[in-house]
Amino acid sequence: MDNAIPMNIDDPMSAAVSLSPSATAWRDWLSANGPRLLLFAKNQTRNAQDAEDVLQDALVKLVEKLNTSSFDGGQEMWMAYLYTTIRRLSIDLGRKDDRRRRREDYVSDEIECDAAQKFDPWFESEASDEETRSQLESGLKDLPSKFSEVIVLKIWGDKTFAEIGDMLNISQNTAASRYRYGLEILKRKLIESKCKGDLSI
Amino acid sequence: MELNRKELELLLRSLKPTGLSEQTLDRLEQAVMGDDVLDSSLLALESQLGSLTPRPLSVQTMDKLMLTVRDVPFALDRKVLLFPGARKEEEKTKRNGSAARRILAVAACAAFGGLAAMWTPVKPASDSIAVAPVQSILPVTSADSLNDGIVATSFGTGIERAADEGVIWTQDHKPKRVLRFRYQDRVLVRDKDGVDRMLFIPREELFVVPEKVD
Repeated sequence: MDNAIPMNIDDPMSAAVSLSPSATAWRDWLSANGPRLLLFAKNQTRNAQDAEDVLQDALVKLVEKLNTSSFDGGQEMWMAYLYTTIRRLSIDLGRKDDRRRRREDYVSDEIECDAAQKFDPWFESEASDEETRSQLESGLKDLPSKFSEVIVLKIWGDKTFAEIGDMLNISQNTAASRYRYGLEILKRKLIESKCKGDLSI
Repeated sequence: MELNRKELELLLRSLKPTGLSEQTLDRLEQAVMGDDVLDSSLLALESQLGSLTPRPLSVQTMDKLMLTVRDVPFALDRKVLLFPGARKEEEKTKRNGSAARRILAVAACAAFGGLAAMWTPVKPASDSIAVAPVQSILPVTSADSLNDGIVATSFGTGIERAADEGVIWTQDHKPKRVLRFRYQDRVLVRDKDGVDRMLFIPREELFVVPEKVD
């Protein structure tokens, strides 16, 4: 699925300028895979702005490798490389942020960040099921990232547990366990919400 | 109360590790059995999650990312690359301009090569061939003394043939145009008997210039 290049003819952005075959293929590839990569970046950074920066940096690294012919593998390996790079860059960014926060008074920063996270939707909103989407999304955002990252990679990244294990440097069994455990925690949260009357499912 | 080492050891031995929780037991069991099947409630939740669609990239984000990959050939597979570069309508006129500039640049290179050839050492006469008349001969400011009293009195050069060899892809995935120029360097020499002789020295140069390919 990752290597599919859907031809997005109706895309208004591509209609504005006649692009070369390469640029058109890139745009289609990014339209198809970019949302999944950005979702993973948001999951890792917990901040929409940082997520975009990290996604772009990861793409720059891929491009550097392609330009120097040092990328190991074909197009089918791009997504795995980008997921791994996004994760590594997010960890680096988190470390830098920690150092920055230790130096600065970050209370207002934190409040802004929390607010931004709350209002930064990860998923498309469909009016018919907005309530469920909102609950699922907030449940996913509240999950410890070691669980949510596996869920994101499995469900929206279409990765197998073996592939996820490779990307996250954990065993296939641990990936599967984290997935199951993450879903269980999410289910409990949803049941709690339902009991409190927050959710009508 | 004072405990000696043995008593302390016995006390520690009497402590029992807590048992595995139901969840941990389940997890270990699943790992051993290789059983990844989720129960129906988790399957339902999984399918609910799967129905959510990640938000598409914003126009600004897409533009930023496109800037990053603009000049990178898109690899359909390991052997087939799509050519990079934008193709806008107005670019056609720009391209004509840039082609003219490129030709000028190559011509300048060629002229520079010709001038540089004036200072290259004269090859032995056996290399020379007889061709068309000299197009430009420049006098030598200080005559070079060659073997056996032969003195070079003037140099000249001219382009005999220019050929476009087409576009190649370099190892770093960049298109380059190869242009082959054949020069005829001419050296007027005077031997020890005062007889003037013209030496013709063929020379070939390859120019590899960046090319835009769509």
